[in-house]
Amino acid sequence: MKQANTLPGFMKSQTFILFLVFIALNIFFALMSDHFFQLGNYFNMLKQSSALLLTAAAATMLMMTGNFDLSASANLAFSGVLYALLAAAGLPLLLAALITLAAGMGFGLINGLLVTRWEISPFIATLGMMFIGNGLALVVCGGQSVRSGLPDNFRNLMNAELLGLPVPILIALVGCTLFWVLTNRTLIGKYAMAIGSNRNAAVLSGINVNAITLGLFVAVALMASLSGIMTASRIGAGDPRIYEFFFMDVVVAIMLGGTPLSGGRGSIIGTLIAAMIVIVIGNGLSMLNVLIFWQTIIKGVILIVAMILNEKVKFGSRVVATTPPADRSVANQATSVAAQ
Amino acid sequence: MDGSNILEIRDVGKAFPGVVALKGVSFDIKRNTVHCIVGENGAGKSTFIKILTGVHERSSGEITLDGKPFAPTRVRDAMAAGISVLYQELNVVDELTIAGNLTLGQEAHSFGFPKQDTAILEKAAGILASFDESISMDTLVGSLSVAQKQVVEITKALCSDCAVLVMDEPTASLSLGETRKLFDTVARLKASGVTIIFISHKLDEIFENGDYITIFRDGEMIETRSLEGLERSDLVRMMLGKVVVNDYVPSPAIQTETALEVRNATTRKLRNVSFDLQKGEILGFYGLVGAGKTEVCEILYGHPCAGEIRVKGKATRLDDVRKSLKAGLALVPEERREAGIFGLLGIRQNIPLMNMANVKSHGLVRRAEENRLADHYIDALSIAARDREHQVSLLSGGNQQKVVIAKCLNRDSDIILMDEPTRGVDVGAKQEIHDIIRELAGQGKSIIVFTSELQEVVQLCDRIALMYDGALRQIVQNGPDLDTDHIMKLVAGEEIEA
Amino acid sequence: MRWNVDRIKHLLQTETQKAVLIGTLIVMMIGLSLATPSFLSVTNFTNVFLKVAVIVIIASAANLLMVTGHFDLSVGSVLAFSGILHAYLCKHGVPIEMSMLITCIVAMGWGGINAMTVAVLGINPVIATVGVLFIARGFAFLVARWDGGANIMTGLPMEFVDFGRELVFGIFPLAIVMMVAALALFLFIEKRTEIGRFAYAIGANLQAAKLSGINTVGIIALLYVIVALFAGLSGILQTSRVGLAAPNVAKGLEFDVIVAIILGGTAMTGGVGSTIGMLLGALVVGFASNGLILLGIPFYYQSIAYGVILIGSLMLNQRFTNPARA
Repeated sequence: MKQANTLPGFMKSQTFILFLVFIALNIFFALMSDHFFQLGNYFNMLKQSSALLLTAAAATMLMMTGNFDLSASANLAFSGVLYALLAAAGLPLLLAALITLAAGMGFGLINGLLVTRWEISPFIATLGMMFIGNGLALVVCGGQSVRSGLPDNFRNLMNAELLGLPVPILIALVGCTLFWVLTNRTLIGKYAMAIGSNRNAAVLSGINVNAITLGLFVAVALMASLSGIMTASRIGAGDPRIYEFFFMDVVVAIMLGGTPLSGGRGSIIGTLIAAMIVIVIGNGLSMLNVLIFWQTIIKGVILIVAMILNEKVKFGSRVVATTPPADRSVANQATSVAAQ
Repeated sequence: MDGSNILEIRDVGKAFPGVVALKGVSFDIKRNTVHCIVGENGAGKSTFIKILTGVHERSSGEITLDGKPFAPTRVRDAMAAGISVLYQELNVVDELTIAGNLTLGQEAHSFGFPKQDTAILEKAAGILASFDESISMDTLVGSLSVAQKQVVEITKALCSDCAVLVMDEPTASLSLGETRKLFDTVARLKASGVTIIFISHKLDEIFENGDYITIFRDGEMIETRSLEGLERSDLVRMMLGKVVVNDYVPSPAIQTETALEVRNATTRKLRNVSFDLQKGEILGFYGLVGAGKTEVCEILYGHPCAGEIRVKGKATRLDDVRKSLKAGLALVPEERREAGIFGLLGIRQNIPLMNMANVKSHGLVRRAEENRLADHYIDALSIAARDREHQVSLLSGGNQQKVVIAKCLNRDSDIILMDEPTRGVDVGAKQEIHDIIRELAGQGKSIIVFTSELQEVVQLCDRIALMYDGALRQIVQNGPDLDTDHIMKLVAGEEIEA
Repeated sequence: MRWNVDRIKHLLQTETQKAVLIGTLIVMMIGLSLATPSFLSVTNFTNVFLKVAVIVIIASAANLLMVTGHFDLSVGSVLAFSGILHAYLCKHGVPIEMSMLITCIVAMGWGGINAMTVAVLGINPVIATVGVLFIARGFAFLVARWDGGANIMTGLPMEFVDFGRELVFGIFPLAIVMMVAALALFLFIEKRTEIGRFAYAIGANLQAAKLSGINTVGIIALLYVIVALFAGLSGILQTSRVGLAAPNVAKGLEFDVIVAIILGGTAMTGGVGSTIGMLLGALVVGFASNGLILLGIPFYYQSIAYGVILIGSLMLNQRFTNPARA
């Protein structure tokens, strides 16, 4: 199955254009700032963005089915706090991480069940879960960041190196590769695409649509939870208010990457490049001492532009779909002449 | 044709809560034939197909497939037993290649990784090539024409070794050329030993392709026979049943003034439709399902068409709903719940929505006027409701339809389009709605009724426009000497001497 | 219509949600006045009403928007931005009236962007309005920074705060008066205008509304613009009253607004709802969060409650109104 060929032409080019934009941005910032184009800075950017890359990759697959998870940011905050609390309570870090991941998975299960069993719109269902998650994150730590009593090795996860590469970059690399393989080389990717494109066809082909949707909700929740653990480890604390706009970064990356809200197609590579574009802009602008608020504004503008671009594609294809094939009108005329 | 039965259906019935959709039908389908099933909407044929394909479970009866008892509870059961369906709406995934679609849901895989199964793919490629050699297995399905997508679906059914292929109105969205190709396919399928159950509203197709036919009406099997020697008009008569007394009374106020002229209206589905509508007249459009009635209604209410439309002598484009309303047309739509009523709102709120001017003074909505209007229509149309605030979704079908009509009447349009005005309403309400329509005509309104019920046009309409396959074949004058046989022949597509 | 037993029964059936809200309010008030002595004080009630006022001003417009089946997540950002813009303009010599006018027009511009993405392009409002949420918030911080600090508080003209602290007829704070005005306006629109009637029709059945000749896109777009305008007005009011413009105010206000509307009986899917119900919902939200503070319960339990209300209301909706909808 050669899935690369199955992507419509424009998307291949959209990913390519994104890549060009990415390169251009790198060149621009490299010229503008002495500190930008350095290995250390790139490692730094990748370390900071590893959580985003992981979750966005998973959420792209979910979006291919036409679903979305807004509760990812709440899940990230909640998982970070829970992980820190468990670590501070003296649990071995691995055990703490496993318990946290299991709790984070709960978000995915609830989201998935609300969407598949109760048929609630994924936007509203996960918005509700976002509130509940945000509240829970504050409740478990009593509204205070968890900083004291953390074991010495708490920050190791994010600061250790393996084979000369920082561990978070390796995790992101492994995770993103996994989701790329899932999307492009396994049946799950194909089925996710089929569900978003023509749900009825998927059902009639005997695909277990609900199980796959639920599974992808769980996958996104797991990645968000892992992101929480990684973020807690990076800052050395469990902060219930961290990274409020995480899910927005995820949306921006996915939509700019060329995956439409309605699903049916999607590109992990596109999402990852788009995420890196957002990150490079942020990093580059702060190198140039541009106010951080511009980042927020630019993200918003990118989101709106990406929406308009994606919708234009949709409108375009609709026009094509409703235009009758040329032979039809000719045939109609022929018969109408014959009928007279 | 070896003459044995592939399917034997015995007393199969299906009851839904409150409705008996299928009343114990029995017939046989012979192996390796094209077996057609016909019937008007609600006749029970789609319920029967859904039972056969495992979408619904039957309430009673037996089916034997190839001599073995057959009781599918899921679509997959039916597929496994060798019954595949080609649905009217396409069920292909545009974003996948043909190969991807053909294997969807049945891929050979290990741990979720698809295995290159060359045997299956070669078989599929062979079947595909036998229909259309020009398309390759790596083509993206989204780039195919509708007919080619259909070929992909047929190929998919054949890949799963189906013995029986159900085709549910397969030509509904095809052009003539594409239809021709599909019929070649049907012939080839039959030659390769597949039994085809062919459902269509188009009689041409049935006579061209079919060997046997089963006629459904009102949930019952009327007849199963060979198509050989069957007259079209006899077939239509069996489908429609007996037309009872003709109590038609001419509309009293027909004037020679023309309210609406349509000249050579042509769309994908319509071919050169031309007609006039007089002031004070009830014009009926009649034809079997799919003949083009709905499309005629659409070009008068928001859909573009080629040709000319004149309202009261003035050339007008009616390609936007608001233009149609402004030109003096109003529609009582066919889909009452989806497009007619505002179910969550009360009767009072529903009625003025097409024309707020009647309830406004000095630019403001006056509750007293709304109340007056609602009371007026509840009284005038005898809407059975608790009070004027009664939520419309909780009313009976007939009363909902009266609310839709009231909403439309409040617009005070000169031309009223009524698409299936009495579908799904009980007999009493039907009579009342007919009376309302007659009264409106009496007031000098022009009314077009689109219906697939012969009884309705014959009772109600002054003139009857007969549609067949997108063309208006003739407009007949109603009256005591109306020849229903003639009507049936025309809507059946039979040639008649001028 | 005469008041007889049937009529009262009917009212009780249709207005259950409002009755429940009023009951909740009464229980909350009695409970809180017994539990904390500081509850029944003029200061506390003024505080609650000032909080409720902002919610109600925006929610009166947002309520009708939700009646059409749409909502706006950007109101908090638009409020913050408008407050900052107004303070910035006043500080830099623009006359106050002119500054208010400009701020209102810019606020309507934010609404225009939402109108375009949601009403014209048909993008899901959850995602579409988040674009403006970002941009407006970003500009709020940026404008404050242009002024030279994190907040704008010094150098504002004397009249600036006068406006916000003005007492109409000597007793009513302007915010309360504006709240009443917004309520009255939208009660009026809901009951007496075509727009109100059409909003209900759009929410009840979009397809039927189009076939009835209603300009559905125009009405949804108009409501987005009005919601943004009211958010802008609230921003001006709040900044003026406090005498300080901070770019990080009103974070999460959009959810207070949405929850107040949902509690008031407006369905997220549209078609039903009332301005009065929304007012009761806003009061419950206001007194509940006041109660949490007074009782020393951490505010974050509110967030959990919001999530449960959001999901719960949709589940109930699925159960009860859907048969009527289909």
